[in-house]
Amino acid sequence: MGAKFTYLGYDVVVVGGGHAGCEAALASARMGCRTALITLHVDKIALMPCNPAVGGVGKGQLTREIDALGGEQGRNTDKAYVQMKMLNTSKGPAVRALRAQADKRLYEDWMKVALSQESNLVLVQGEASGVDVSRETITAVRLADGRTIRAKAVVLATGTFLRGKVVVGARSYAAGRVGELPALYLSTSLQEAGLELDRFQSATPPRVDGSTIDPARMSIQPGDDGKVGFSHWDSPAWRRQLPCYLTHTTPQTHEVVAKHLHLSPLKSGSVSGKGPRYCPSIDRKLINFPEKDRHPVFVEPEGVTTTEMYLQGLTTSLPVFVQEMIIHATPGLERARLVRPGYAVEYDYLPPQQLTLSLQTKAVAGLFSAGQLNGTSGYEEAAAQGLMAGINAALYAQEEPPFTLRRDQAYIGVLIDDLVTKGVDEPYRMFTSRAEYRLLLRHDNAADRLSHLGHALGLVSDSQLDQVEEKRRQTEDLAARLESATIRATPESSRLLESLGTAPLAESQAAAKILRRPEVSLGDLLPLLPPEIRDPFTSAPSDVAERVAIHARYEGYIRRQLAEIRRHQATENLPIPGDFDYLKVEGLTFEAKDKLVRLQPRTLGQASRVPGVSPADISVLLVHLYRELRSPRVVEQEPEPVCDL
Amino acid sequence: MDTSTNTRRPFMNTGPAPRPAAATDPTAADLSAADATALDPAAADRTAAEVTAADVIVVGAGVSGCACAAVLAEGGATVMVLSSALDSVGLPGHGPDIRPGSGGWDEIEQTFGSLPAPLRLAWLNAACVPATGLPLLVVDRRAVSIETKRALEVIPGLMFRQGMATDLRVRKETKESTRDLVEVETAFGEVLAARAVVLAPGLGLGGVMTIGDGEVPGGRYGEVPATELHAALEALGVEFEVIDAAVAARYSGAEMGLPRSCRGPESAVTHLVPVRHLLDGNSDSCPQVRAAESRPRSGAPLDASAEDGALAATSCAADDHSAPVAGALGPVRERLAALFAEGSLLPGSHTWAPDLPPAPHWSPELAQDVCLAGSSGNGAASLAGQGAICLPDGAATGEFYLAADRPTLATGPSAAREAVMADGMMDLPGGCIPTRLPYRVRAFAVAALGKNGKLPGIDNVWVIGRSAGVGDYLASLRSGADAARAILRDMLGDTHEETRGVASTEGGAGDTVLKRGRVDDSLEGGARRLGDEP
Repeated sequence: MGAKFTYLGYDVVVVGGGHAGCEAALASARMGCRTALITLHVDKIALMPCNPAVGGVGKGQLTREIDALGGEQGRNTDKAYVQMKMLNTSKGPAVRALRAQADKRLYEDWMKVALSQESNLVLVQGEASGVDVSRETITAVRLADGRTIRAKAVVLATGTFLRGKVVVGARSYAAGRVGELPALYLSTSLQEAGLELDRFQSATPPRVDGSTIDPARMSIQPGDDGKVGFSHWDSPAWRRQLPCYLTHTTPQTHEVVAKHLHLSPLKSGSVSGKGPRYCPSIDRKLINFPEKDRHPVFVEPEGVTTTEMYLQGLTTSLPVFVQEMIIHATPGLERARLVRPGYAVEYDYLPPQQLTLSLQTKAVAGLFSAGQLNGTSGYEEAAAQGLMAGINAALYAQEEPPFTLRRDQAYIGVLIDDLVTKGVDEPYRMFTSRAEYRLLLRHDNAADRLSHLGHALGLVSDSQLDQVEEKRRQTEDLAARLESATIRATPESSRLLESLGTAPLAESQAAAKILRRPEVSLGDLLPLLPPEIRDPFTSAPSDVAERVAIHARYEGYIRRQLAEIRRHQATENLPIPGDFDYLKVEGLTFEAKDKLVRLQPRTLGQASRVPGVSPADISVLLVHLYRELRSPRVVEQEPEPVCDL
Repeated sequence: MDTSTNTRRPFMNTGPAPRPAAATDPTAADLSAADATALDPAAADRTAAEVTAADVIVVGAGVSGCACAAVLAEGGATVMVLSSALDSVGLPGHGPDIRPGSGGWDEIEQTFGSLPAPLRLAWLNAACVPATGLPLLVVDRRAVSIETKRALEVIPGLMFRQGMATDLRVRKETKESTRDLVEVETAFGEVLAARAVVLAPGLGLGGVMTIGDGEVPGGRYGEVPATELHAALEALGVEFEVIDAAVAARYSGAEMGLPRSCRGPESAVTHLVPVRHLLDGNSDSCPQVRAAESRPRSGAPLDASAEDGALAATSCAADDHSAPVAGALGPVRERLAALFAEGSLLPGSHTWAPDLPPAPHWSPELAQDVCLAGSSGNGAASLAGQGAICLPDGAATGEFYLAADRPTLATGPSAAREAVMADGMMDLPGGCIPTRLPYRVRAFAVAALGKNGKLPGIDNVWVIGRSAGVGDYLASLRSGADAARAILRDMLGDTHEETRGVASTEGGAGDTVLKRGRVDDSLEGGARRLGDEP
């Protein structure tokens, strides 16, 4: 080509077109930044290389939050879904979550449509080979083809492609995903810029031909009616749903694994990176849980465009012939024909303590990082970080202060705080148990928690915010009606309550109070209520009625969590100055000083979660901060109480 | 599917591993590889399974590999398609334009006529024809890929397997086995054996791509090339020659000021009519067909009255329905109808159902219904390959493929753009980044192949498609189909009857094997047609 090409005029460059990269690029472009998305392969944008599903417990809440903030993952899933299912409907509201199976090919294509229709966004096929850094500030991204794109901010979302290597048994070759070339140069450039990299490992199960499975030997797992989707803004269109199937491994399955365990990359050492404990391979499950004689295997469709099915629970990178034996020893899969062998992938990741809460690297201003590169696993975790990194890259380019979410505001806040504060020693996956305020961070109230913030950023439109406000008004109205309603001790009410297996009323009682009985649902009570209360409920959207019921039933718990948050906020959000000298603080343990100096937490709350920092250290720090700083600045973001309802 | 050719023939059922299930059960026969391992306790102790995977293994799932596999399976063989890129099965890897040689519509008709109906429809339903009736199909490549995989997966006896072939060995007849077997080893250590192997690795044999200043390994963009397979074949004494292909740049339609609908003066705009709409009997309701049939200038071909090719981005032919003519498309419609009639398949009807999730490539709002051709105002000449032309490249990304003259392709990323601008076709906004740079691939193709791609010196191995030196999509499709028929004949030991309505193209317009050793020097000469990959 000869002449070097340098493109000017871009505010934000996103490197990587996976789930993190897509959200980052869309957020940045929608916030008015001229954005370029560099991808190794335009055809592979938004590929789902592992499971064909979005959501689930913990993860589904992330997707709802992404949607509430104006992200794309929820909407896109609703377009491409082949099954929708609300999980844990019989359990408490904190663990209720939506999960969707998606058609992989159509998921990719609808995401490409979203990207290509965004006027501020261009797609650039190429391999990012390096970053240009001047005075510890990002200036440009270089491409292997010799071009350079200058930018004010850069988001790295390279997934498993940095020096990627795929592994089965003792065999391996360089690839970002099976058959796809890895990114070979960028790692060195990042290291030269002062970033540390380490190796992680992840794996995917085999896929089989769905026409060769025996559904009669498995239990069918159908979807719901599909009325509830991830998106707050549209209801998903109706369609025929595909079922999943559930089977279990048997002692024979385990025998096959045990017999060939010496061939596993875990044992033979052909994988050097650390793998996920929470999404373990079948090899690892047998090592970790030798007492269990069976593990569940979900057989999930990969879409309507293929007969391939995904074997969730049989993740393995054992040699291919062993994989076939494992599959065939599992009921319902005796004749299943292997289409894609499972494999492990090993890649460079960026230990995330090198990031601030805005996902900016501490070493290079204007350089952000998101997704699997930060040591996470899962499309939802990736997309959540991508959205936040894209928002913050745009704010950085516009010279605005960063946007972060607190742990009491969103799972996204929990995710990022965990990553940058505690770091990861295995690929990080979201669970509800990671959130201390999980009763407040629910699927059903994501828009109430976050949409006004998305609106302020320019990602949620006025009409969308009106939609949220309208629902909130409806909810409050219904809640007030319910609050005022009492149910009298009548033969009718006694009969109903007894039929539900709970005690009849001795005297009139508030309907809301009766609703706290676990046996009673709102639907059960409605016939007992006067028409002026009952009718608005029956005509209200189902999600509104559900939220009123949740609030009535869990009000006490919710109030307690809110009080706890308020109590904590004083210390949680106490800022620590950037130039704070931990070494001078008497009484801090050596380990705490070491960790805090290295990590430079921004608030006392963040400092309290640094591994190696004890509550005693925090007390010392608290006293010191108050004494030394006399009047500590209050964080700009006035911690409004977390809304509920 | 044409059922008459779909009966399974018990003709290649020997091998070292006994088939455990009755041969009459097609599912069981497909499972032979897996079952042999599962049921044979001795197999468990091997480090790699050595079993017959199928009658024939096709290495590579590109255009020629899929054609070959479909014909083989339709002819009754069990076929395993081995590919490391199962997410792009059947993908036309270069441009969206399917151009016949001098054979014109005859070549298009014969090529697709020689394919099994499911594969034929996967292509034709994703194709558009220019309203001028020129012999050209413009396909949504992504749609071809998705629909090809969807169609082939359900053909009995045809199975896909993810794996990268790294080695090829011939196991001679032994006491246990009365026939030779060809073994393919994969990068993950699998050993798969078959009676015959068809190699269709495209430009992956030692492929190197030049993109701008960079060189990366690869045959199809972004994918790991079959470098080890190339080395293995060399070790077997196979002779190679160097081949070279060029792919043009792509730009975002929106970035170029080219929304998905028509812009620009009529002299440069040609409407594209989806084949499925042209034929489905409801074409009156299709805006593209209506627009194509209502040409403002008395139905004159685009080029005849065009004085200036420069785009002023003003009028739009599609808006003017004043002078309806049903000229150029009439004969085309008839030819295409014949391709659909066979097997009683309705165009478009099988493609999607209302209770399935929507697909961008069937979405009317995303239809890319024009192409631009503006070589000095001579639109038709451009479409015929003598000038710059800008073709839609898929509904999902909204890209346009900037097929330009060959010298343009041989140079850098801006050259295509500059050539097009010099051509007066369009004015790209300054700083407009191509979504994909043009690139060249240099790879090895097997030289001195026998008839239908038979590899001399090694029994039961065929080479098809670009790795056999075949030039374009149509020729690749034919080379796959021809090899498949030859294999069926060979292995059956008798004459495989042509049961298709359209005769084999072997030796006719579809003589697919190019002359050797001329590819390199012709590259710079600009002698060949545009979009014609070596």
